[in-house]
Amino acid sequence: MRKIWAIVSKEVYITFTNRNLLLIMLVTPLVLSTIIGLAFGGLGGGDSGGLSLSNIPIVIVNLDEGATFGNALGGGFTADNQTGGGQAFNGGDQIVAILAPNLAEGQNAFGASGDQPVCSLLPEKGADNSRRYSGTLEELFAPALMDDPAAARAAVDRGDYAAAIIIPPAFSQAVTPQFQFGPADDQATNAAAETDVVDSEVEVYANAGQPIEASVTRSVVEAIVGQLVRFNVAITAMGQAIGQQIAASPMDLGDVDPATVPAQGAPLADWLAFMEANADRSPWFAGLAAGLTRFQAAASGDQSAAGGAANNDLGGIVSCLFDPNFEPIQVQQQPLNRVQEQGIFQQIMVQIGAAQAVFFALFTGIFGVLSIYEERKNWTLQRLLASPTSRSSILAGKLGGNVVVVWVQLALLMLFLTLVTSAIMRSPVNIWGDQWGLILLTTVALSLAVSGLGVLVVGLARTPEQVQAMGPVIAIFLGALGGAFGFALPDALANLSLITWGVGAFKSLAAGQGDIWLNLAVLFGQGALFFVIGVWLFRRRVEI
Amino acid sequence: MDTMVKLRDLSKTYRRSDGSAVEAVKQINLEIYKGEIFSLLGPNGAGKTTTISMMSGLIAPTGGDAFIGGHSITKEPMAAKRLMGFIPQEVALYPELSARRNLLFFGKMYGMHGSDLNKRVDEVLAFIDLTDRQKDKISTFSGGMKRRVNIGVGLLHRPELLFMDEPTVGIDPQNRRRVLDTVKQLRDEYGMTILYTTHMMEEAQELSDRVGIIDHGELIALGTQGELTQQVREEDQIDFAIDGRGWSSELEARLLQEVPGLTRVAYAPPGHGDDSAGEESLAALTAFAARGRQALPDIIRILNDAGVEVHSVKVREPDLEAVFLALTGRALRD
Amino acid sequence: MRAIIDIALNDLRIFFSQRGNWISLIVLPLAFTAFLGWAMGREFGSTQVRLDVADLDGGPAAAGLINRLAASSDVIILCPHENDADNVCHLDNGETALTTEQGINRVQRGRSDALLVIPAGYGQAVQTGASAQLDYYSLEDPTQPSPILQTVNAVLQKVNSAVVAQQMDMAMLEALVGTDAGSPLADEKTRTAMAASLQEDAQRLLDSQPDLVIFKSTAPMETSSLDQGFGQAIPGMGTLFVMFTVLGGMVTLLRERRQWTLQRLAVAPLRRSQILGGKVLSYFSLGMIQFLVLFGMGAVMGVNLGGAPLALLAVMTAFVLCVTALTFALAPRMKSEQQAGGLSRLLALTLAPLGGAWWPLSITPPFMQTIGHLSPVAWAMDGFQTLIYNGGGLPDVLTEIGVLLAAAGVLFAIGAATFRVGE
Ligand SMILES: Nc1ncnc2c1ncn2[C@@H]1O[C@H](COP(=O)(O)OP(=O)(O)O)[C@@H](O)[C@H]1O
Ligand SMILES: [Mg+2]
Repeated sequence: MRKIWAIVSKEVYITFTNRNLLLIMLVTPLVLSTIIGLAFGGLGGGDSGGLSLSNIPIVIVNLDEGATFGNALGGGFTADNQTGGGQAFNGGDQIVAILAPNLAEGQNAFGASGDQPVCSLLPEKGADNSRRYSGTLEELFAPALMDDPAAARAAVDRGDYAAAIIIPPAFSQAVTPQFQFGPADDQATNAAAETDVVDSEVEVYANAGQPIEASVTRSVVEAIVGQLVRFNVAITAMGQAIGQQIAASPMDLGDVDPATVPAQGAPLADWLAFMEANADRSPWFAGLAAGLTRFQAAASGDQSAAGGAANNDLGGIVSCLFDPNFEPIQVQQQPLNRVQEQGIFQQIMVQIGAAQAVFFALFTGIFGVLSIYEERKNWTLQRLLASPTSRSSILAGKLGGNVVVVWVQLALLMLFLTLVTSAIMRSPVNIWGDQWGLILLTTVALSLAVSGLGVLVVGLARTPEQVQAMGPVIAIFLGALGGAFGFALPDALANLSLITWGVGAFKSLAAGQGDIWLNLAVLFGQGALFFVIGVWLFRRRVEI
Repeated sequence: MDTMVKLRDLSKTYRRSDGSAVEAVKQINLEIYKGEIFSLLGPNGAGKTTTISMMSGLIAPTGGDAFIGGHSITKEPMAAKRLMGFIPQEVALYPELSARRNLLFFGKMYGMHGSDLNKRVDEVLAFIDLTDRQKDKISTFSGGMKRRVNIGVGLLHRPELLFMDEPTVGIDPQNRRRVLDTVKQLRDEYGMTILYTTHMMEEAQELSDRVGIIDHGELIALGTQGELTQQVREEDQIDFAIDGRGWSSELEARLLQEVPGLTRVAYAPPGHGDDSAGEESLAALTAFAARGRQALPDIIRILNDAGVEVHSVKVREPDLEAVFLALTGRALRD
Repeated sequence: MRAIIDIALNDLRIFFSQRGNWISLIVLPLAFTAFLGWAMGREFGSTQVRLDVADLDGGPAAAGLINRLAASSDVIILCPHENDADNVCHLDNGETALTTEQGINRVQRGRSDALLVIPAGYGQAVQTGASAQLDYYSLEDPTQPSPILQTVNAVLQKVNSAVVAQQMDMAMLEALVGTDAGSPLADEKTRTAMAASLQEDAQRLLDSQPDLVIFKSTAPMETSSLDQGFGQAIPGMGTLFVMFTVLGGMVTLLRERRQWTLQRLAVAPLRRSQILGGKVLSYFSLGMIQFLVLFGMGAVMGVNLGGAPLALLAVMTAFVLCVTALTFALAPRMKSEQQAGGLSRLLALTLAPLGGAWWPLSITPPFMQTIGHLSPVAWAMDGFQTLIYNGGGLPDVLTEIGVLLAAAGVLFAIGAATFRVGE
């Protein structure tokens, strides 16, 4: 036993006084872990980790011809009477204004420049409501404008842009209420379905080579369009609901000449005239007629008739449709454990750092065992064999030394990873959790499995050169399966790699959970199996 | 006699990474004649490999030049290199390739190809007596066999001049014998000029037509064996094995003063003496005297007086070893 | 020239005489790529994910949300609501409703993938437009986007739209007709009925709303993050393996000097440039062989490799030249084979991720993208990207090729100046 220990300590001493070995054992994984940490965690610190996309190059082609929902509402509703156009609405401009505020010439959906009215329905206005995308969108995208869809698609094909957003001429038409003032009956199909949808779809044309950017762009555009649709939905729903209410309310239309009842979809002015004429027949007629007249007056600038800020009210209400803050129902991810509480950066450091540490320990395991060949070349092995030390003791000492070296490497790396994380987060953290006993057990189990794999690989190879060549590839293979390179594989495959089991255990421990017995069993089991088979093969080759 | 190789002030100063300089070869001048075996004899670290490396164009001299068949190795390296074969001190072969493949490859590097190359490889394989193992990988060969292939590669392009750098280091006596015979055969049967470096006096003595003795990068003696031993011929060499504990420089002075005919004394402390010193504490004392046998009793008396125990005494004729000793005060194999 | 080729051929012969080299150069990378490809093409067991829902509200609005969630995705199984006879939900006791604690416990034990908590008062919030927060718990991989959360967000956007539309409509109506006596909205009952009717209509309209965004891409786009990983795998793993192989040349050079075969070449009537050229050619060839084998394998497996094979070859050539040059620039500085081996592994394993071989550089912060382009891998990956996904041709990758060749030129100059055979 004392002899075994002497060999073990010699191994450890030789390894840790060899600068070249230290280079690959410690420096490389550290550099790599830092790269990974910076890639996913940024320089800033813990809260904003994860995929940090910015300046996604997009190009917007806005062909939207706009729509005048005043027409739909019957004309004469707004100040725009001269053109007979009603209120102009351009959803395309709105998309441009959100995605490319600097390029949008200050226009918003209603062709107005300057600030949009603030949504007057916001429960608590302002500050602490987290904005979904306004503000950050400016950093997220690097937008450009183009006129020609074909040119934009070609630019995406070339890779100049991650995606093109092509807003069709009829887009506003599709999201503008085709308003029907009347009871919702079977014929009252919903507004949007009536329009020619084919020409109204916003196309997100993405470069397949940038799938992550593509999906981000897509979901942002979907969110914006989803909001624009609200306008349509709100107006249509209102029309239908009013119709229902009128129908349900007590009124007497008995002696009304059916010819004077406006047709479905008739201009609002007709309805207004009809309602004014029949104001005494239903409270709705009276109320609506009065209200609409007031608004009309306000819109045409006749403040005295309008009763003050009514029009502003309307603007404040309508703007709620497009206010990204007006999302009453939110979903919020809650931390499940200690690590999640500490932010995504630490999670990534635990996950990828642990995978990297084990990945590099694999090199140590394999090349450490290989050093037995080296010793044979230097004749120090023969010298040992000639001494009155049993062959088993020599082998046990060499392999035991390897296990210890791997363990020390893992322990040092874990220490350094914590230090790197602390440095990046600018506050001291221990990313591995505080279940020291279990952490120790996991590192021991991993050392055994890693060393065992080393023996197995060296035992399987015919020559040291084969190990030199195959070792890294096997390590990369297990590293890729174990998630050391940042992409995850399905569990069924990942579980083939001992790295997965080790990382799983470290993640649980870091999360403050202790249920890692399966991981430990798998690691110890693999270690034992590798050692038995590896030693058997190895002894046949080296006769030790 | 035609000159094959001429060294003029050939020098090499190595710069170590720590900034210090090692003068490995100091302004060597010598000529090697066509058809002779020239031995460069010197202890380990004397500068033999450095010299031969400069002569073969492997490393650049920091001073002086070497001319091979009249071609400067620094200015016309191609012409010079074509004339010479080189057999390095190490076994310079690809262990993963067979003997034949090694020969074929290096043959190509000397511009040989096709059936000419193949025939020559067959000849060389026969010459080094490895025809039956030609297909085997070098890594499976014994040390002696590797040495033979190593020599064979140097002979491939039928060079007129062959550089051999300690070709017998680390091989057993049988193979060594074989190498020595080969060297002589190459001179006698093929008329080759051979530069042979060694740190073993016996090899130089057996092979060489002429010998250059090199120590600390300096060529300290040059000539035929006869010429060299002539320098120490008038004196006999007396080797003592003594108990080194009583030795002192006063004793040395007294010996030189009191013994008539004694010209020089060289002392090697315990452990450094030559092979005859059996016991650990025995030191070697070498004395040179005009008439050795007459001086011997005086020397023994003085040593006895000083309490220095004399274990053995040998009076011998001068040889290259003696020349080296006489010139440097050290044994060759220090 | 002949000597250069002879030297290179001899090196290749030696390289391929080692079975281990065949394995590392060709067999294992091929096996690796094929394995990844096979992994992509298969479904591994059930791809369904379980989303626990703890409904603390219990009202009809919450039920509506659950129904919408259930309808929104076939992949997501809502637990316990969509549990079946086989207990896909892995419920312990066949619960019909879960509490938050139970849900958290199940997520932590891996019984389900995520938990969504619908708070008490959710229905109230939907009615009144007050804010409500749903809590989401999951141990999903933080490095990958969560498909469950994406689905939940999409459903909630529609809910929000309905709520906002209703709120806005009510506000607008109140502004129009007022709430004073005599107004139809003065009556509380009518108001409530109106609100309910508005929300119902809005929700119905939203549900029947056709998709107004269509998504197209330059090439069929892989949908899962796994496939995205593989989209990078061939060029990414290719550059890594090539670096291992070519930078490994540092070790071979030192070994050749140790076994004196390099010196033997130096005393042969060869120019230094011929020896250097031969060695360069041999490592360059190894790198190219490895690239071609990997890309060839990809082509056989039907991976999209773009339409410009010659330009692809040009990028590979420039990259391999650059790495070869790096090898020769560093080799003279190496003291031992062990050091050279360590450094080559260090370089391969840091230049690869730094240059975006393992994940696209575009997902990293701008300063990392800048730093990343110190690595030749970044330029090669940019070039591959342009050719494979952007349908680019040779003119589109001239910058990348130029940068790689320029770097190769500088490094070769250093290497050629410091290449020593003898001393
Ligand atoms: N590359 C080198 N750098 C520094 N010193 C060297 C180098 N090669 C040899 N030397 C030194 O030059 C001297 C001569 O060495 P060498 O020519 O190998 O001697 P020999 O072959 O006679 O044993 C020795 O002192 C040796 O240490
Ligand atoms: Mg020497």
